[in-house]
Amino acid sequence: MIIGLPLAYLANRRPSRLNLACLQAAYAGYALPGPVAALAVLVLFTHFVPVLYGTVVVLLVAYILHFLPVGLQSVEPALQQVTPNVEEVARTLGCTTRRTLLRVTLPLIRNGFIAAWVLMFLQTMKELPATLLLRPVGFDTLAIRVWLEASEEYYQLAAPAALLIVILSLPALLLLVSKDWRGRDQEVGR
Amino acid sequence: MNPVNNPDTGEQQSQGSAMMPGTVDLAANQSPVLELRGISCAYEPNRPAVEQITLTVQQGEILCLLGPSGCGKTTILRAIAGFERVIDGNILLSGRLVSSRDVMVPTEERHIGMVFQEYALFPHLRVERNIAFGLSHLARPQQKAIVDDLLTLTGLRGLEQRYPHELSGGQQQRVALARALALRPVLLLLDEPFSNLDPDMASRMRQDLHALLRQTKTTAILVTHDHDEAFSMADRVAVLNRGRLEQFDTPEAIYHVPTTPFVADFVGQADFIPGVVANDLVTTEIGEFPNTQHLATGSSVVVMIRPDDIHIVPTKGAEAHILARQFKGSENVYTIELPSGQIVHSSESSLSIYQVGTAIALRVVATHTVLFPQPPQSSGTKEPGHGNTPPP
Repeated sequence: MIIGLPLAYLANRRPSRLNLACLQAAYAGYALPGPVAALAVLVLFTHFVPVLYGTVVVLLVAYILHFLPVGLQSVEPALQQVTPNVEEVARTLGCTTRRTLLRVTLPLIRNGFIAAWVLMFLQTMKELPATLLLRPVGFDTLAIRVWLEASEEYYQLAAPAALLIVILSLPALLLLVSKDWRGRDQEVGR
Repeated sequence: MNPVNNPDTGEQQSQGSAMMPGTVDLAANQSPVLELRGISCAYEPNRPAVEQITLTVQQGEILCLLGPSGCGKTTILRAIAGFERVIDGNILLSGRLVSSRDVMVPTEERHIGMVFQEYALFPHLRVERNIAFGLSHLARPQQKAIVDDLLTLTGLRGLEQRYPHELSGGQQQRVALARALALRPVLLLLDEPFSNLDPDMASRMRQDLHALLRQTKTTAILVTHDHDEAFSMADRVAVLNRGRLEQFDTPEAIYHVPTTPFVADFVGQADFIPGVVANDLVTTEIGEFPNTQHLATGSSVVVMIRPDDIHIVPTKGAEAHILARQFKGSENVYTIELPSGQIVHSSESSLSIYQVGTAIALRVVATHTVLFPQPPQSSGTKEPGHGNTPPP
């Protein structure tokens, strides 16, 4: 469930790049404390689409709003490193804009993409305040479990969930670290 | 060899007929590959980067866009490639309208090749896949055949499995070239292709590129700020200044019969000496020149003269003297002050060394002097820092 989230964020990334104002607004979401962002989403939803209140969708939107900037932080520099010339050359070689994106831009920002994915995944998994406010009844993320048990001083009951967070984070962390190594190899080659 | 390459250097020509006779023959029975009809481009409204450029490129021809940085030459190239819109005028490729105020054919439908200043290779692909990038519509064996041909042609054989960052600058450039040629474009655009290479490498690559373009009968437009490069590569040169076309002609005509003081100054060192017309002669401080433009007696003119036409004769008691010497390896360029304070330059062989301050007389051999009716606003029109004025 939680693993699927970051993909949704990344789909959000591209349109916001098109518009600088959108980008700036996205960063505002990170500046807000978790509960405030959550409340904002809550108010919006109860106002406009009350049907969705109390569903996972609300939670997803809050996550996206809150952690989008984290993803942007790693994807943006990656995009900036791709000179427009490279994309233009692809155009002269007969690629349409979309094919250029698929064959040139995306492969070139892959590392930044992975980093964004991992960072957002890790953040989301630990997120507490917004989840507490927005989660549907009976929907517990791992972080919630830990918090619930720990607040009742049942530390031994909190332990399995905490361990699970660590275990789930490990592969993601590994991905991040291995990416760093690959990056270094390339620099040496240069 | 086409007739354009036969220079007509021997004698003075009047400026009205600056076009060499050979150029016309070339154009006679073919429709041009590229036609620019009065195009203007602007990045900001009301401040056009290029204005009213009209020129044509024939099949197999190599054209150079020459000018100082910021003159709009790259903008023109990008307009032809379809990366910039034109706000006025038309661009026609092989007779088809591709750009105008309302028409904008996307780049991928223009069948042009482009080599960027920074080469813009795909860093995530090996040399082989870089070259084959535009060939994905073909079957693998066909792709391989084309890539093999180009590897041989550009001398890159053995490097096909390398990544771009494992190549030298010259090799990267050849990959970019091979990649652009793979689709057999109707027109190849090269944006300052030699500016990232050291001078030795650049001159070797220039010769290779010239041979390659001739061999593949590729029509090409090359952008450069280096007149030597333009002269050695081009069949015709378009000199640009501040977004306007100053002169469009053969390299020989550009050098010997420049139509504006800017061109005269930009394509080689030139001095401008004021004079007065008297009958058939123009009288100046350093001698008399033929009145090639048949200007009326009494009108004031400016004579352009190149340093290789001025020779130094050390003479005791002469009024002119040497102000500075600049050693350039193959020649010495002397800065000379005339009694009036006018500065002229003389290029002498690298072994003729005279001391600064030596009193001298000048011997002027007028092989390529050009008259300009009005005094040039040279200090205003020429861009500083392109190396035509040696330091004092």
